Amino acid sequence: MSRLIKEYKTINAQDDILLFPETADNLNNWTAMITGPPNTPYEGHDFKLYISIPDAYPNSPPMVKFHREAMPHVNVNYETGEICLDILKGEWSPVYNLLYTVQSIERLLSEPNADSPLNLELGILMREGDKTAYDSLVRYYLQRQK
Amino acid sequence: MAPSGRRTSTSRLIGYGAALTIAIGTTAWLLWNSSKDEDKDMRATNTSQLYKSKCIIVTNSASDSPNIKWAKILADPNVVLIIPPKVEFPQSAYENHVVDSKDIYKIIHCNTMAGVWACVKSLKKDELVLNSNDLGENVPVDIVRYVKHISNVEDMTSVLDEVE
Amino acid sequence: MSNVDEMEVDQEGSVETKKRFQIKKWTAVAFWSWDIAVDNCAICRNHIMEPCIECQPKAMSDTDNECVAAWGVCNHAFHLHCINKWIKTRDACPLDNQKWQLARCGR
Repeated sequence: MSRLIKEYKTINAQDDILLFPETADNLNNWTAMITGPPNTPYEGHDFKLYISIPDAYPNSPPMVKFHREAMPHVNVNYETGEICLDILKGEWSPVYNLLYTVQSIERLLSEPNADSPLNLELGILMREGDKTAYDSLVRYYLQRQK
Repeated sequence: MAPSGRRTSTSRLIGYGAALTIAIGTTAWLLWNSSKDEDKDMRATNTSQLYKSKCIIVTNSASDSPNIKWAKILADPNVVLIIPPKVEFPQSAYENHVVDSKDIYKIIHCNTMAGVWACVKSLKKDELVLNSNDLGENVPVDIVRYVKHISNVEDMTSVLDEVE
Repeated sequence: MSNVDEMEVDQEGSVETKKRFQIKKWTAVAFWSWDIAVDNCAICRNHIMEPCIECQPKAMSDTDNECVAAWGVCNHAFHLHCINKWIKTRDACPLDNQKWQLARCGR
């Protein structure tokens, strides 16, 4: 738990990542804002991440998800916001911290992984190599929310 | 004498209660059924309008048709167009800024047919409108799980005119 | 040395001449650091030679507490308490993912 306090104190303002606990007293729930990377259909959009810290942290990974029906991405369940990312599961290490976790999720937006799709149709578009359709469909979902 | 009298009146009450419940239930069911029939009539006359959201696969016959007012179709927030490979979305739609730039996102271009069907499944609109002969491909059988109704028509203007 | 002699001669000659300065107190300051490559335990982020984050609050009162460092064969070091807790989840070094094998303990 005290390690979270250390993380809170040492988080520097990154250019495009905001990361903060819900309240200064409650370090069990954090929020982050990430920006869509350039040269992806996510460019120009911001996304909110909900982070909840289990008791075993840092020996257990934090639980992170997007807002429901906000992120059309191969490795995100559109309806629930659940994220499929290796460091959030089997590849977690206690040397990672919340900032690194959020940065990894931002990287996932530019590097989707077709091997573990939580969005079946976007996974098909990736495997078929239909990047035009992938980008078009993602933009459709993102624009529709506005 | 007294106890058995009470028992009889109690069971009578139960009987009345049951009868009343059945009566109410039947009436409600009959009313609901008749309203369903009304829906059916509506559906018979005006299919397209009942399905709120549409996914339209644009093929050459549609894009060549001068009668279709794409700008108006695209203004509907519940419409999405899918442009399969080798189809040109009509230039006339872009001319004179007829299609509002804020609606352009509703036009989804695909480089593969597999991509077209994946988009249809993802979007899960109420109605799928297409011309499968023009498309050169049959609708995959599992598409019916993702849309409520498929309008496979030779002349898309018949279906799309109603959107106006 | 010859200067010193001159000074002494001066002092003897004129009693009124005062010493320029007088050292009243000497405080030596020295910097030290552990002769060690790893400085922080990557798990709890405390310095490896300091108690781990769990032992830290009790460090003042519980002087018997032995919160030691643990080195793996991969030469990565963590607090023994920290690495023991982690290997219950996965028996691998948190830094290189190799199987964790304790090489040595202690300070």
